[in-house]
Amino acid sequence: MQVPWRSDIPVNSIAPQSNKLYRFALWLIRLRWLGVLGIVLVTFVSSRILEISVREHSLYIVSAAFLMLNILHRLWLMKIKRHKDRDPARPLRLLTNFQISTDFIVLTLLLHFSGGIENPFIVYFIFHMIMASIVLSPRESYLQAGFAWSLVILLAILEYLGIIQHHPLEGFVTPGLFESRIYLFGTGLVFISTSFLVVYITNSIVMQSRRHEEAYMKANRELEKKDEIKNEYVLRITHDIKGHLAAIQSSLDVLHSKPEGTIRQDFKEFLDMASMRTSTLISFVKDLLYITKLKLSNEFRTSHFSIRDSIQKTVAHLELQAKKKSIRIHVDIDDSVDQIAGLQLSIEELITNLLGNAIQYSDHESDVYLKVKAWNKQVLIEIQDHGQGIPAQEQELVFEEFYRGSKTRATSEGTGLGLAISKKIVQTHGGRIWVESSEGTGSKFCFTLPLNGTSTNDPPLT
Amino acid sequence: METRDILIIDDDKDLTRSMQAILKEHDYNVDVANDTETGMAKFNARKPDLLILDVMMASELEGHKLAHTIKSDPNNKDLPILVITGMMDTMGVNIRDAFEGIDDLPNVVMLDKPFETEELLSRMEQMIAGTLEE
Repeated sequence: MQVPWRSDIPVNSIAPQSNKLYRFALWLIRLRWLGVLGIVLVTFVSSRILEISVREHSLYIVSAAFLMLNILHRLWLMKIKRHKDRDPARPLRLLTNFQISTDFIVLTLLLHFSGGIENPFIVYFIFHMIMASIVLSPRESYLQAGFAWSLVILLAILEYLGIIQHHPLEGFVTPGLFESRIYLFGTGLVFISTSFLVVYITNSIVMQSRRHEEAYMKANRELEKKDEIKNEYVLRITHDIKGHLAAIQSSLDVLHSKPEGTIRQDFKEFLDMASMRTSTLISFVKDLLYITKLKLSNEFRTSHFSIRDSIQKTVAHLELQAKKKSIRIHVDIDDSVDQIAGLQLSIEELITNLLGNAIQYSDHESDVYLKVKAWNKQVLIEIQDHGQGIPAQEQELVFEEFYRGSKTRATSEGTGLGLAISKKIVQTHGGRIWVESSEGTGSKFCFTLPLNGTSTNDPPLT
Repeated sequence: METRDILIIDDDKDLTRSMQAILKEHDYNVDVANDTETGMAKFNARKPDLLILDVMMASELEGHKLAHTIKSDPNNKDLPILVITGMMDTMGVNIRDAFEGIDDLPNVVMLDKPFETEELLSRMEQMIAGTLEE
C-alpha cells in the first residue's frame, strides 16, 4: 500500500478529477480488505491472547458484513467504469461518500461491541475524515465529520441511558467510564474538537495545493499553446527557406551541369563548396521540419510491419556509403524478431540515422555491428561502431537538440538534430534510447521498441 | 528521341530560370510562366508533354486550383503534371485540406522542394514514359 493513487486504469478516457476519485475509491477498497483482516486479527488477539472481554462473535459478524460491503463497493466501482460514455464524476462522488459513511457505521458497530466510547480506537474516525477532506469538497467533508460525531454521540447516549447494552473492555479499560458524565463530556469534546481541527486544517492545505495546481496547470497550458505557435511558426519559416534553397540549389546545378573545362578550376572549388553547404543546409532544414512535425503531431497511427525487412532495407541503402570507407556492416537479427507495431517510416528513419552516424564516425576499414534481440516484450536494437567514441560527459547531451559533440563540431557535416529526432521517435513509441561509449574504442547506440507499439502520448498522470 | 515540351508554372523566377537552363541542357524544350494567367494562356496555346506546377503561388494555392482545372478537362487526363511544393513537410498541421485530392488526380506526382536535379530528371522521364508506379 505504498502509493495511494495507483495508475492502473487508462487515464486518458476520463477527466483528471474523476480519475483521482476512481483511484481513491479503488485504493480504499484495497485498504479495506486489509482492514477486515486487521479487525479479525485484533479481535482474536485481544480476546484469546490478551483475554480482554470483547464480544468476539459479534465482532466477527460485523467483519463479515464489512467484507460484504466491500464487495459491494468493488462491484459498484466496476459498474461505474463500464459506463464509459457517461461522466463518472457524479457516481464516483456518490460512491466515495457512501464508502466513507458506511465505514463510519461499521466502525461505530465495532466500537459498540468492544467498549463503546471507552475504546481508544475511536480515533480511527479521524482517518476517514482526513481522506474525505482530501478527495471530497469541504462541504461534504464537514457533513461526513458531522455524521461521525452524531454516530459517536448517539452511541454514547444510548449506552449511557442503557437503551443498548454496554460491552465493557474488561482487562484493558477501567470499567464504568461510560457512565461517568465528566468522562463522556471530556472524551466527546476532545474527539469533536480534534476531528474538527483535523478536517479544517486538511481542507485548508488541500485548497491551497489545489489553487497551486490550478495555477500550475494554467501556466502549463499556456506554455503548451505558445510552444505550438512557435512550432507552427518554424514550419512556416522553413517553408519559405526551402523555396530559396530550391532556387539556390537549382542555380548551382546549372553551373555543375556545364561540361568539364567550361568553368575555371579555382572557381569550381568555390562552386563545390557552395553546393556542399547548400546540401547541408537543406538537410538541416528538412531535419528541423521533421522534428517540429513530430512534436506537433498528436496522431500515433501504428501499423504492423516487419522490423527485419525495415532493417535490411536501411542497411541496403547505406551499403554504398559504407563501401566508400571500406566499412563492413554486420547484421545479426534474432530469429524470434519480426513483426512489430509502430510508425514504419519513422523507425526506418531512426535506424538510418544511427547506422548513418556509425558509418560516418567510424574509422576506415572497420566494422559496424547491428544487433537485434527480442527482450522482455520489446525489441532491443544495438548499433556499434569502432570510431573515436564519445567523452563520458557528452553522452547524455548528444540527444539534445542542436547539441554537437566536441569532436564533430569542427566538421560542417551534421545538423545537430539527428539524435534528437531519433530520441523523439523512440519516445513516441514508448521505448528508451541510450549510448554506451568510451573514447578511442567506439560507441554503441541502443534503443528499445515495444512489440505492440504502445504510445506514450497519453496525458501525464495528475 | 524527339524533343519534349515542358511548361513550368512557378512564381519563383530564379528557380524557373535555373530549371529551364538545366532542362535545356538535357534536351527538353522548356517554356516558363511566372503566374497562373500566363501559364494557362501558354498551356492552352501549346499543350506541353509535361507540366511542372508549383502549388503555392503569390501566397495562394493557385497551383492547386490550376491542377484541378486542367484535370477537369477529360482531354488532359493523361497529361503528366509534376507538382512541386515546399509544403509537403508541413502537411498534417493546418493546410492538409489544401492538398486534399491533388495526388489522387490521374498522372499527378508530387515532388518536395528542394529537390536534387537527378531526382527531378528521373521523375520527369518516368512520367513521360508513363512508367511511374503510382
